[in-house]
Amino acid sequence: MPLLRKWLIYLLLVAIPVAVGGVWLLQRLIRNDIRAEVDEQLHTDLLLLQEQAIKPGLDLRSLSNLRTTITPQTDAAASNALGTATFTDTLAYDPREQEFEPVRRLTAMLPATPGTLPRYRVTINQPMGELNEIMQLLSVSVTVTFVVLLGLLLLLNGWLLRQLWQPFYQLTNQLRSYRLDPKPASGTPMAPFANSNVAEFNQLSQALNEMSRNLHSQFMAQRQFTDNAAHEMQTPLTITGHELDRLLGTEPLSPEQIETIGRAQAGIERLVRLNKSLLLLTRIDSHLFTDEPLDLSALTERLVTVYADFAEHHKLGWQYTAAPGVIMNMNPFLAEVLFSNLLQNAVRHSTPQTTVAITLSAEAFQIQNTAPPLPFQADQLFERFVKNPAQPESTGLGLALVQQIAQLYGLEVVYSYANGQHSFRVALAKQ
Amino acid sequence: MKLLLIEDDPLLRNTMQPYLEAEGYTVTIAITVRQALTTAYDHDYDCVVVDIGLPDGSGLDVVRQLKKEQSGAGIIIVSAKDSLSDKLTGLELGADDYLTKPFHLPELNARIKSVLRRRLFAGHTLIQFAAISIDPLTHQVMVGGQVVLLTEKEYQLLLFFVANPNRLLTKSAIAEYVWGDHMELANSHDFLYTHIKNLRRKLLDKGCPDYLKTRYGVGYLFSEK
Repeated sequence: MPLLRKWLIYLLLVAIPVAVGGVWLLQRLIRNDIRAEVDEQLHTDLLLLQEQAIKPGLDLRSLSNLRTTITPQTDAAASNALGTATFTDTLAYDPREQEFEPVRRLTAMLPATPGTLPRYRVTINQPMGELNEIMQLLSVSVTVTFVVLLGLLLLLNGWLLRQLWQPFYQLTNQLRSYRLDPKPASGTPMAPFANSNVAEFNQLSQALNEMSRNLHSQFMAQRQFTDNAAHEMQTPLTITGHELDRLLGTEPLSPEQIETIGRAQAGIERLVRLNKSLLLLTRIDSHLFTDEPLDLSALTERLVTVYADFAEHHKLGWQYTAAPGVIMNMNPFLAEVLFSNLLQNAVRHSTPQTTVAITLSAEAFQIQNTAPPLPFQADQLFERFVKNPAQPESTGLGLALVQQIAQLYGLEVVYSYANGQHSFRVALAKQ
Repeated sequence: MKLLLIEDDPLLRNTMQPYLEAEGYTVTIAITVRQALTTAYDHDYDCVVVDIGLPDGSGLDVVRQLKKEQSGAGIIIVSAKDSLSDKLTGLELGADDYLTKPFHLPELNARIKSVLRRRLFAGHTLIQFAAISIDPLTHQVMVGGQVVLLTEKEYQLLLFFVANPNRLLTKSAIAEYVWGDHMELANSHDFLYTHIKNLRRKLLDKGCPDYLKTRYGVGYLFSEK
């Protein structure tokens, strides 16, 4: 979930209860205020009435009007309530609107003449309908204003946040395309993450730069190790081979001795091949190769010719169809390893008297050969050191190299097996 | 023939020097770039074999310097790195050949001979071995005045044998010389045998004595004896 959305949810989780509570409180306040005002007004009306009632000889009933009702009272029990006014909310019939309307009512007792028993009950009504409408209108407008303001605030904040997080997005984009470059001289600095005027992002980019430098130095150390391993291992292997070469030149040698030397040489040779393949795998892992536009048609044609001899020796038909001018950006050495390993694989494992079909088109390179089914699971085919037990002299690295090189260039190698036909298809991505 | 061997590894020098001396070369040793340049400046060499990884610099610097001084020596670079860019740089600088470690001594020998032939005679010389004569320019092989038609691979095989007579050559050394990087398959089964059998038959057909002897399945010996 994006930070923005999360922030929005939290904000709404807080804002909605606050808004609902606020509106409720506001309404209460307004209502109480209005009621207090109305009560005060009613009370003033009562005082006015009392003042008028003092005049002698006045029939209080003549003071009745639309809002005020004065009725004579004989009820003795009501005498207790002398002088006290009570307020009630009730409904009263409004003859103008011809319906019942909520009213605020003041009820009080008035004495007919000073000193005697109260004789009159006075009720003064204040219709509340209009006031309630005003109250509602006020609440609604306040609520709407609040919602509109909240919306504007959210939009503005969202935009601001997006602007503020811009350096962060830049950093993540940069990280995504970050590649450990063995040659920083090619223009890309070792610490490529830009500083920001926001302290937190600055911290982040400094940490990333430090990480980049560390990675780079570790990478260089590893590369140095690979280089050294190459040198340090190849030289002793060369020396051992040379000593055996020289031993073969000494006289006299018994047949057993010659055979022993031969076996020793075969062992060394396997070690050499293994070492070379492993070094190549490590170097591909470290992206140590530079690419150039390469004519795959010419390359595969050359390799197919080279391996035609071997195919003929294995009594294999060697069928090659190619589209001319298939160009790809690739390292020539890696391309040669990729295609020759696939060709070698077909020559080595095919059943004699069958045909190997090799096709190169702008979309894919495909090689199909006939052979017994794999002695292991198909998904292990490209793993290192997985090999056919019937071929102990194989290094088990050929197809691992194919896979590794293909991955380096984002090419997909698909293996399939049907009706005794093995097929390898390298999809050549359009560049 | 005077040969300058620039190699810092003592064990490797110990195998290469006696072998090359047994081939009839006068071998001088240099261990560093500095030493190599002073030695090369003082003496004329017919061929220089230089390792790329030297204690005080790259063997490529030696090549660069030799070419700058217009040395006529043939140059063979030996490298522990199977690096295409190193190889291209070396050849662009004017080296004649590039050999990746590990290599077989007979292969080095054959390459030195080929470089010397090109350097000293500009290739205008016939290689003579008993009844066989080879024209390295046209790749034509003659036995007793008769042309022997060989395939390219058979020609390479013969060249390798002729360069290393009286020496037991293992199948892997032969395969590596003829098929290079693609030797992995050549070395297996009896692929090499088929090619050698064809070569021998073609030579015998033209009345050439049988110089090729197999040695216990390990390799072949090419000898007049």
